[in-house]
Amino acid sequence: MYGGYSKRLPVVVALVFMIVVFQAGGNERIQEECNATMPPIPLEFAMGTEAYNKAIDSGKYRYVGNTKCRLCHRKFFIGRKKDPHDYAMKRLEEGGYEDNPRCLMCHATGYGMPTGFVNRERTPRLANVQCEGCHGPGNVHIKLAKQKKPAGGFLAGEDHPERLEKMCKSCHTERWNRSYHDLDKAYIKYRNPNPNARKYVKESK
Amino acid sequence: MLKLKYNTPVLLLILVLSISYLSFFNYESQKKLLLTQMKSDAGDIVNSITAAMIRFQDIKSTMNLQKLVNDVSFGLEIFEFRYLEPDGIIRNSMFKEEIGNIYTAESFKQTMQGEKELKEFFFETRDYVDVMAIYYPIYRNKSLIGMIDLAVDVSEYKEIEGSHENFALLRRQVDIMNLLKAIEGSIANSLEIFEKTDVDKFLHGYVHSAENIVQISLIDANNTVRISSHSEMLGKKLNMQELPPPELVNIEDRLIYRTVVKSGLLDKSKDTQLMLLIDASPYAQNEQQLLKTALITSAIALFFALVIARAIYYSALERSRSEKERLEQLVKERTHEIEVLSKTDALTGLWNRGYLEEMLEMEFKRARRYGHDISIMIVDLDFFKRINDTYGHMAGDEVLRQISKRISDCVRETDFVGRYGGEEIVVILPETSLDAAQHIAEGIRKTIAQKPVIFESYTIEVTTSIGMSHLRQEHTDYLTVFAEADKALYFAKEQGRNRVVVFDPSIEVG
Repeated sequence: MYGGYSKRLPVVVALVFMIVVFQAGGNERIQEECNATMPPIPLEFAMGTEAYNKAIDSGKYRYVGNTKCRLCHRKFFIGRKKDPHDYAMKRLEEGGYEDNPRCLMCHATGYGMPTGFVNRERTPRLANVQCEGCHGPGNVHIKLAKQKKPAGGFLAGEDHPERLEKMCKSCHTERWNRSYHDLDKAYIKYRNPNPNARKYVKESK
Repeated sequence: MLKLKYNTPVLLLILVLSISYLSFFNYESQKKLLLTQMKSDAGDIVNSITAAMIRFQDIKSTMNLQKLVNDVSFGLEIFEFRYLEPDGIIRNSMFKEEIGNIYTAESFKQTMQGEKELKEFFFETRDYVDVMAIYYPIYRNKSLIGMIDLAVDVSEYKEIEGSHENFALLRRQVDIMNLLKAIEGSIANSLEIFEKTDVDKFLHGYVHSAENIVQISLIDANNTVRISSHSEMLGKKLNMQELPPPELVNIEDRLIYRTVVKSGLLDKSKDTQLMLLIDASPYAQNEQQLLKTALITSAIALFFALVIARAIYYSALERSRSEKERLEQLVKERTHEIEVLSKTDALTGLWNRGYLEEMLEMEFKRARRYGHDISIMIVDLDFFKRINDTYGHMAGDEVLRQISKRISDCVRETDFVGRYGGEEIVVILPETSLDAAQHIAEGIRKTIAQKPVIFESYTIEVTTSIGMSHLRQEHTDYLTVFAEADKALYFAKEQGRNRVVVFDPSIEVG
C-alpha cells in the first residue's frame, strides 16, 4: 500500500505539472482555433469531397448511435466509456463551447452531416466521439451483420486504413495533437476494446 | 529363347499377383468409401436430428425469443432485454454470450430478496449508462416460472430535466408495459404447445419416418438414457466405456452402424451424448458384392495366365523342334556342297580328274562284272594353244567353259563328263554301244563346230577332235580302253582334226 503510493507519487507530480502547463497553453490554442478557418468535416476530409458527396447524397447512410453497436460489441462499448473520446462533450461544456460549430466538428459524432449530431436536446445519443465518429454511419454495417454477412459497410472501416488514418488526422491536428504522436501505436491501442487497458483483450463475438 | 522360356512364368506370376493385389486394393478402398459414406450419412442424420430437436426444445422452452429480442432491440430504443429463470439463469438475452450464465446484477438480487418490487420501474446505471429497468414476472398456474428483464437508456432525459418524473418518461413506461404484456402472451401460448408435445414421441415419429434409422437415444452425463425413441431404453444405464468406438455391430442378427456424438441438447454442459443406430444391411450387401467381384477378377486373371503359359510353352516346344530340323537340313546341304566342290573342276563345273578316274574305274568294273556295254570318248579342242596365244588366256578359259557346257547339253543324264586336264574332256557313256556312242560323239562335234564362241568382241571358231573306244572281252581294266581312245584321238588329229575316230586295232599312229 505505502510502496504503491510512493511508486505513483512521481507520476502524480508529473500529471499535475502537465495539467498546469497544458491549461496555460489551452486558452491560447482555443483562441487560435477560433480565429482559424473552419475545420473540415472529418469524413469528407478522409474520403475526399467527391466520394463523400456521392455516399451522403445516396441517402443510404444513417447514424444510429453507440447503443446499437453495444448489441454485438459490448466489450468495446464498456471499454470506450472510460476513454477520453467519451468525455469530449463534457470538455466542451466545461469551457462553454458546446454550441460552437468548429468545436462540435470534432467533439460530437457526425456533426455537420445529415442524421448526425445537431445539439444535445435533439440528438442526445450522438454526443461525444463514438464508434461512428471515426468509422462513419453504422446502419449499413448493422444491416449486413443481421444478415450474418461478413462485416463491413463502413465508409471508413478496417477495409479503408488510409481513410481511418485521415479520420484521426482531421481532428488530431498540429494544434490539438496531444493524445498521440505515433499513428501506428495509437491504431494498435484503439484496436483494443478498452484502449486504456494495459493488456490487449480480444473481443469475443 | 532359353531366357524367355524361364522368364515367362515369372512374369505371368507377377501379373496375376499384381492384378489380384489391385482388385483387392480396389475392394478395400471401395469398402472404406462405403464406410465413409455411411459415416457422413450418419453425421447428416445426427445434424438433422439435432437441428430438429433444438427446434423442438426451442418450442418447448418457449424461449426462442432471440429473433424477437434482436428485432425489438434494434428497432426500439431498448438497452437490455433478458429472459431469466426464477433461479437467476439467463435463458435468453440480446447478448448471446451470457445465455446460460447466472444473472448477478445487484438490482436483481435485491428484487429476489424482496427489497424491490417486481413489475415496478426503477433507475440504475448499467454499462456506465443511466437506464430505466423493470423485472416483469411471468406466472403459470400461479407459480413464477420466469422474468423478463428490460431496460431502456434514459440518459438524455436525465440531461434535460434532471428528474425521473417527467411526462416523456411516463409515456415510455406505458409503451414498455404494453410490449411486455404482448411478450407474456406469446410465452404463455408457447408453453401450452409444449405441454401437449412429448419429445420421446417426437423421436419415435422421427425413427418411423426414416427407414434406415433403428434407434435414437440421448444419454446424459451419468450415462443414463434420458430420451429414446424406444421406451424400453428409458432410464437404462449404459456403460459408455465398454461400448466399442463407432462402428459396425451385430444386434439380433442385424448389421447395425452405431455412432455416438456429443451434443448439448439436454443442457449446455455438453456432456450429453446422442447415440444413433442405423441399419447397415445395404452396406453389408454392397461389401459382399465387392468381395465377389474382386475374387472373380483374380480367378479370371489366373485362368488367362495359365492359358497363356500353356500356349507359350507349346509354341516354344514347336519352334525348337523346327529349328533343329532346319539346322540338320542345313548341315546336310553344306556337306553335300563341300563334297561336290571336292569332285568338280573349278573352271568348267565338270567333274575333276580325280573323281573322273574313280568313276572310270568303278563304271568299267561294274560293266565288266555284269557284261554290259560301256563306251568312252576323249574330246580335245583343236589348236587350243593358238587360241590362248591369239586372244589371251581369259578367252581360252571362256572357250573351255562354253565348250564344256555344250558337251554337257549333248549327253544324256546318265553319262559322265569330266575334265581330264588342259583342253581334254572325257565322257563316259555307260550302257551304250559303240554305235550309239559314235552317234552322240558326232552330235557333240557338230554342235561345237556349228557355232563359234563369242568372247567380248572376238568371234572364235572352235573345232574338236574326238577319240573313242569301248569295253571288249580282252580288256582287264579301264586304262587300256582309255589308252585306245587316246590313240584314236591322235589318229583323228593326224587325219586333219574336226572329226570322230573310233579305235580300231588297225590304226597306226605315226
